[in-house]
Amino acid sequence: MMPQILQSWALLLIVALGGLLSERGGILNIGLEGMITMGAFVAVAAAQAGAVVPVAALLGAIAAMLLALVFAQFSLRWQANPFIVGLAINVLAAGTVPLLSEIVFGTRGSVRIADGGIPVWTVVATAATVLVLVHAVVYATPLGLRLRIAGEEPEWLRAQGIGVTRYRLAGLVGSGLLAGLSGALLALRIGVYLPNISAGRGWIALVIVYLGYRTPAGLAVAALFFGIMEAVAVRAQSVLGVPPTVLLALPYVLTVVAFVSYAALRNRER
Amino acid sequence: MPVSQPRTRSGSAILAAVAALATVLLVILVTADDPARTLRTFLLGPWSNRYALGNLLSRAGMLALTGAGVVIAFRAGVFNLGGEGQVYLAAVVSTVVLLAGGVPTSLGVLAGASAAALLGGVSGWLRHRTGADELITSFLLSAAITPVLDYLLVGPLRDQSGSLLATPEIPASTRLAMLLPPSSLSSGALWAVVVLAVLWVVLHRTLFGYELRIVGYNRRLARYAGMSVGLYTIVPMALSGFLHGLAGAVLVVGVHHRSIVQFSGGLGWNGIAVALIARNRPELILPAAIFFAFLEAGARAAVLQNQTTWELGSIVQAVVFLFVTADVLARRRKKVVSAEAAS
Repeated sequence: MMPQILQSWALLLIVALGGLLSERGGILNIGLEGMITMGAFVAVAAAQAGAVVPVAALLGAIAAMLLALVFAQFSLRWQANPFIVGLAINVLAAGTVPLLSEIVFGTRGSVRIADGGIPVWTVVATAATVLVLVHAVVYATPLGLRLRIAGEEPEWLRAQGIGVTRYRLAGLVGSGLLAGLSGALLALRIGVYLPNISAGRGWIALVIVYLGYRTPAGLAVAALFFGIMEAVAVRAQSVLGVPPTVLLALPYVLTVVAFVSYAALRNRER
Repeated sequence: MPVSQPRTRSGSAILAAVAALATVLLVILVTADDPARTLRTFLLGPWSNRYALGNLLSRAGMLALTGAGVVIAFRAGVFNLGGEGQVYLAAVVSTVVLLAGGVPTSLGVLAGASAAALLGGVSGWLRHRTGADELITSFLLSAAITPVLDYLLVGPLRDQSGSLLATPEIPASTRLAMLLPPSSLSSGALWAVVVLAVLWVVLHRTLFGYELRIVGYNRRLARYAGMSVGLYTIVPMALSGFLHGLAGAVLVVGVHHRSIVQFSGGLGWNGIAVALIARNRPELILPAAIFFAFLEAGARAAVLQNQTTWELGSIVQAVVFLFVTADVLARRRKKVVSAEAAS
């Protein structure tokens, strides 16, 4: 069970840290779900084409970043509503990935990688590295400072003659890279691309951002909760004989419960 | 994290519609063997005969209902992202109620729509009581209920005698009158017209609608003016769920006469697209819904028996979502700092 928990924790943490980057810059990235899917698909396609694991993962991250750039073009430059643009990214991924899959592999179903999955510790080590990196960037660099100001006091930045847009762009690009990386690692770990592979992780990640009080360390703790839940859910399937279809609902139910409890708690504090 | 009310400029709505049309044209022209013929099928097919026209109007009626559901939430400044699950839930609930036998259509429809209203209302209530963002909770609740409904339709509720993953058919007496047989156009499409008229009157000619719009415009102002912001958070979310539910019920009593696994897919997301193209105005919902139904039907006619249609639908939605609130000329206009874009 421990490897399962660690794997779920690491994969969720990486996306959530991505969500944190754009959220701290002032843009809630609803499109994480689509970016995960894109990252997973491109990584598998690259691995199929013979790319080694790090390259495949990198290509997955870059593909998702391209979606983040589309997000940025519309929401930052063309001032579109970020929620609607986020939805657009999700449906765009849901529409283009099966189409690409059909063209590249001749199937809309699952696509297996020839030489199986990467070890758990690779995923965990990556997550730990990303955690340290994000923490360092957000709290110990001018970029991170300005990113946080872009989210909290954009007027102040503007008054200093520093553009807000480029920091929000940086946040979005970071979120795209990390969401893609998470999707890529997920697919490379289980050794297969599946339709609907993200399975709500993008939404869970957003909730983790809030539950973790919008700090990298907090996120690591909040992600652990969901990691354990995911592992328990996988167990419940075999032990309790819960129908697997119904089990698909569980992450969403737990996420909404966690999110509402957190909101209620915050509300009381205020 | 306050959700800013998505606003559509008239230019953007037109641009989004043109972009959607261009996307469909591009895809079918690239994939077609005989572009000229495919193009004709796409443009004229949906209007060419009673059957195609009836199906188009039937679909437009349901899209108008979900679009109206999205609009009433948007106008109150709340965001119902759970439409997909609400449509599905209402469809299954009304099927189950009507299958019990001896139940009038109206009761079955009402039961389904009420279940969806409850699902939407819960998110509104959670927003009011705990501050939990209704955008996120409505999506999550909808996503949670969908696999459960799938399970019910594949398992306990399934008609074992058929090969389809579906319930048995509802009694003939509970089905709506067909207007253009053999197409699926039923009197349910007329409900949509009535709903839109009522929505317009409520929004523009009643105190409820007036206060609702003020809450949507500025919550703080509304609170200072002594309006019950909670009421205008919960009720619009519930009404939004109710209207999505009506669409789901029409899908059963008017079109399929049963619930089929995943058969309501797309009505919720497309409702958002319809609402945005209609710029949140009730009087523009019907044209926007017909436009969308036309895009869907045209694409289906053009790439007949091809799975590409489904993905094409998603891509069209994405294009609309991208362009519909965008201001493509933002850079060229005078640089007005948009404080709202920040929130």
